[in-house]
Amino acid sequence: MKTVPETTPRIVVCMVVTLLALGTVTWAQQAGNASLLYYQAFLLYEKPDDTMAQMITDFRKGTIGVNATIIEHIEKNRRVIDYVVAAANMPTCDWGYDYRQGADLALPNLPAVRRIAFLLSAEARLLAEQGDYATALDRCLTLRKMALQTCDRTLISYLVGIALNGLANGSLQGILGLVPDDAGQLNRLRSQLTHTQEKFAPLAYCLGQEADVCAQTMRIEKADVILKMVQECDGSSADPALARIQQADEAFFERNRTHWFSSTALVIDTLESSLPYSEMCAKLGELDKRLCAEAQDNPDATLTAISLPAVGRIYQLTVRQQTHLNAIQTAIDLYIAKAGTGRLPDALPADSPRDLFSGEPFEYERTDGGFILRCRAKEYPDEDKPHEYEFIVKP
Amino acid sequence: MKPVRDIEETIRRKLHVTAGPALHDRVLARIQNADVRPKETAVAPDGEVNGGTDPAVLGELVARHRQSMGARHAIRRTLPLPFMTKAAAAAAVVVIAALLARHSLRREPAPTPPRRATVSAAELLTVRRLNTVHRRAGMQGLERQCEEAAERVDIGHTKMSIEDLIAEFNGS
Repeated sequence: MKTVPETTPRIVVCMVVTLLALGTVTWAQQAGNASLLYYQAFLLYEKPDDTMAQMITDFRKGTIGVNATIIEHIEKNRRVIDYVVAAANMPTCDWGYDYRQGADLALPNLPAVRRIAFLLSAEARLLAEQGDYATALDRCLTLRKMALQTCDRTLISYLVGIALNGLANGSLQGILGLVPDDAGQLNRLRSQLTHTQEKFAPLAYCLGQEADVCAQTMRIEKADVILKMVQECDGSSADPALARIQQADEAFFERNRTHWFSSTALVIDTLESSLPYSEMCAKLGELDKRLCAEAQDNPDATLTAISLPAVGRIYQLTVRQQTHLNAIQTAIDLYIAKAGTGRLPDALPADSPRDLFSGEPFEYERTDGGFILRCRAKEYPDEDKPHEYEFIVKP
Repeated sequence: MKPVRDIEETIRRKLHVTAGPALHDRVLARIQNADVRPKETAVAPDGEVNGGTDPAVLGELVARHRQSMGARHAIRRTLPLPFMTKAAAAAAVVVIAALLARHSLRREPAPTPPRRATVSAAELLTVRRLNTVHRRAGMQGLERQCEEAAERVDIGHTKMSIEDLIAEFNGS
């Protein structure tokens, strides 16, 4: 009769323990990555038809009231919302991009993130109308957390992050007026908003990340991608960049990479300078023109001219979003004051957040239905009037 | 075609051939029917019959052969020359026209409606494409492009049951 060696059970136990430990670590790593939940939500999302999509847009903008169709659509996607809320509260989100692909990298999560953000915004509005203000405000915060997680190492994902913050701001602006006077809840909301905004990466940092990603494309083995970029940018076969890239050697790409990094460093320095809004816009515009024009005579500037993003425009969006948030935080201060005294104050608190277009506090105007916070300078010089944000107050 | 001169040469070389009446009749029949035949069958190779020669018969054979050849030429000549020329010309024209048509079809295909340049959804969502559209059309352009890509890749809209999937896998 064969006997089992004494060491065999120990080996088996050790192997089982090791496998369990490995499995646990893998599970924990997966559980800690929000993108896995997001991807599941994207696959489960039930898209509305065109009519319903328009209805939901109108509803979340507050132009129509709730109806059974809207409720049905939101309930159909209940599991999607649950997954997204859980994902947004996770500490890390790695979308799994291979940044070595450089400018040829595809970002397939962005359209789905947008759509689900619209769903969340509609649900926030619905919750507010149903009287569940705490969850409604929480959904707005979820949108801002999604913005943080969406913003990755490319400026495009940064832009989508800005758009999500803008959506959250719009939802908050609509919902705040419905929330009953509750200073505690409003204070919590204010600090959470400040927290999410502080965590949102500044544009200068994102531009540095984008520079690294784009530099992956500035190599001789990626010349085909660069050629596509030239054709997409200009469409003209007479572009001198085409001929330069077709005849380029490794030294050409190396000189161009050096030029690219020095140019983006110049833009980053400008962004980090504390120039007022209008001067910053002028400076960024001048830099953009100069760097692009340089490519006409300097072959080393060829790839910079092709790859340089519209930083001036992105800066404007960033300031617009931040100014809108500042208006919301100012409004929260006013609602908190009203919760304490029962009426809106006559003037803004001294330390109110500022309108970043002018660098001054907002212009505050009380109206019959609430109040308006108005910027003191325009975003664009040729605009009719500065931005203004209207808030309603429950009678 | 069997030239007349060849036949005469063959016959002359075999001048001392002896032939009986049976051979005579057979050779005569063959020569009369001779048309396009191999040399060895045009005349009897070894026309030795009854151990003697028959120059008269051979002379008559040659004469008949000539007559026969003359008849064939006559038949050929009964077709009028212009008709042959016209037929050949017509055939040549048809062949050339066919060749030209084929050549031109190959070189210039029939015009087809211009196809819209197709760009995949994955391509629409590359960093370079999105950067380009943002430079050109700002956030609105970016939104449109994201929406277009989402429309194309959307899988949530297509419902397929497990039964459908099994049917797909089984190929039935």
